[in-house]
Amino acid sequence: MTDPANIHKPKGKVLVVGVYLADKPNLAAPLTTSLLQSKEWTVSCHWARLGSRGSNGGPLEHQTMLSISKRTEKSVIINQLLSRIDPSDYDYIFMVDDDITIPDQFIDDYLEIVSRRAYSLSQPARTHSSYIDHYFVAQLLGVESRRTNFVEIGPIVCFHRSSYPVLLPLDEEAPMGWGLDFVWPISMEQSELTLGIVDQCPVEHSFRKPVQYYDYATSDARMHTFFQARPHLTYAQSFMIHESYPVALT
Amino acid sequence: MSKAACPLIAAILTTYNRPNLFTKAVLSLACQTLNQEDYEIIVVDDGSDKETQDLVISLKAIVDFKYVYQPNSGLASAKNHGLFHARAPIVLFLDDDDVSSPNLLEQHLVAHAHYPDPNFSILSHTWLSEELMVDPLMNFVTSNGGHLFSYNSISTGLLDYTYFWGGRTSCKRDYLLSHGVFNPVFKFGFEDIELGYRLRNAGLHVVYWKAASNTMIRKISIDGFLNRCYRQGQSASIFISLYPQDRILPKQLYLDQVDVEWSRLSPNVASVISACCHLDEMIRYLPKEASLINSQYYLQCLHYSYSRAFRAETIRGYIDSLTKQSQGQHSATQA
Repeated sequence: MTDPANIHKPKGKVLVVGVYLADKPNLAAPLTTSLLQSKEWTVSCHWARLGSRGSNGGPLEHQTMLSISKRTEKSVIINQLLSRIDPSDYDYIFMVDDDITIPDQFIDDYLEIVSRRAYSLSQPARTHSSYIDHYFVAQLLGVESRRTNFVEIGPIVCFHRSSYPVLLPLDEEAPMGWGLDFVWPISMEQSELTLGIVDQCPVEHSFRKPVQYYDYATSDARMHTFFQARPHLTYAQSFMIHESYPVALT
Repeated sequence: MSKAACPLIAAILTTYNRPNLFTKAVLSLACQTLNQEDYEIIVVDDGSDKETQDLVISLKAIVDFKYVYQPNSGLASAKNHGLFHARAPIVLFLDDDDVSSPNLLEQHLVAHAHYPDPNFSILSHTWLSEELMVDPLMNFVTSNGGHLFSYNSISTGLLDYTYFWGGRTSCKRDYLLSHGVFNPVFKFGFEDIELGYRLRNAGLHVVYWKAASNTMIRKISIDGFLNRCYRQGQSASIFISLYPQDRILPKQLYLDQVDVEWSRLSPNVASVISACCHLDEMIRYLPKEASLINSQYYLQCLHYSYSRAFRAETIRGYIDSLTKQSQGQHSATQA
């Protein structure tokens, strides 16, 4: 029986961090509105504004913690946002891009699955209409979620508090994050933590083509340098399901 | 990551509510010439009922396989699900109505050793079981008709994407992960050819390797086959709609100028189908010994009738799907 005292008690605290491109069209405002709609979690959004355009007093006014006018790498900005808080205050930290659309009740539904499966690092699968770099992250129909060897660095990643000591702050040697996703599984396994992709709450990533505002070749070259100094998985090792859980039929 | 030795090949067997056939299919995989540690069997159950599920799971006591369940989501999703569960560098997609020859997996490995480049996939041979060979419908759709499969016209050279046949083709896992997986929009039919179509851009070649073989053991009724044609027509329409810029594709799929053909066919579809069903039924009652009836002539009539009926049902599925798509677009525009 549910304790009446717990009926309206939040399950915990969630922090969302991300960078939005102030000079480009983006979805940061509607995304923030959706994220803050959680009924079960206390959600805080901490955005960094990147670009020359100043604050316009829009819906992100109170969620923008940092303004940066010159080009700065993503992992550096995320680390700056994280340095201003105590991660241990939060049960989960989401790192999000500014060009995604999430389903209704995303935080509640998503974290219900993530908590049940005890994924320390996770992300929602991508809808089939999304831009997809790795086919492995596309939504598997009929699947609730899967324990995997891989969680892509974007467009949305969810860290459980158990993963903070292992994965945060982000390794700035991977400036745009490229390659981190092939290194993370090794660190996670060493700490006996699990990774998962949640197919039942997919994210739409079709607003903006990836790698539009930075250079692919440079990032790719830096990823290979990054790999030279770190143990990492190959594609074949990464894109593997250990266990999958079917969608429960009601 | 995993410390266990990696198998050389994965047999990915998708199944849906065919417990008896599945049992034969999976048992044939248990008796392979390869060492057991050299291959893995992944069974993807695409939403079978409880009775079938229980039977499938009970077979795990006899055959070592990984069982993966999903509520019915279609063949494409099931195959992707199996692909991602596989650990082996070569993956072979199989259907639950084919019994594998004892050396099927070994021969796929031999073939891949001959063609080690990532973009080479291997097509096995599928025989029709002896019992089914005498069935007029099964015989037709696997020989002259070629609706199910037909190896008569296959050359020994490199084949194009239209031979990327699901249920009998193996590929390098890494190649699929890097260049394309099945599109889940396809619930039945064309999920294989459409993937092959996309993989052309990544240099796909299909090699027919006759020494690798399995045997089709499922008898399909005339009603079942007509329904199959209808669903294939629906899937073909989805396939073509995904690539509107490709003017050649409808012709490659024998579906160009379908509207003209349909206007000719549609007034008579019911009688074409009915005649076909009657002829199919009648031939099963013909005396086997010499009779006054010229059975060859009768067979020719039957084959002609099959061809017309299957064509009509395929086009009907195609047109229906097209109509549904345009209605969907229309309501989206209005909304």
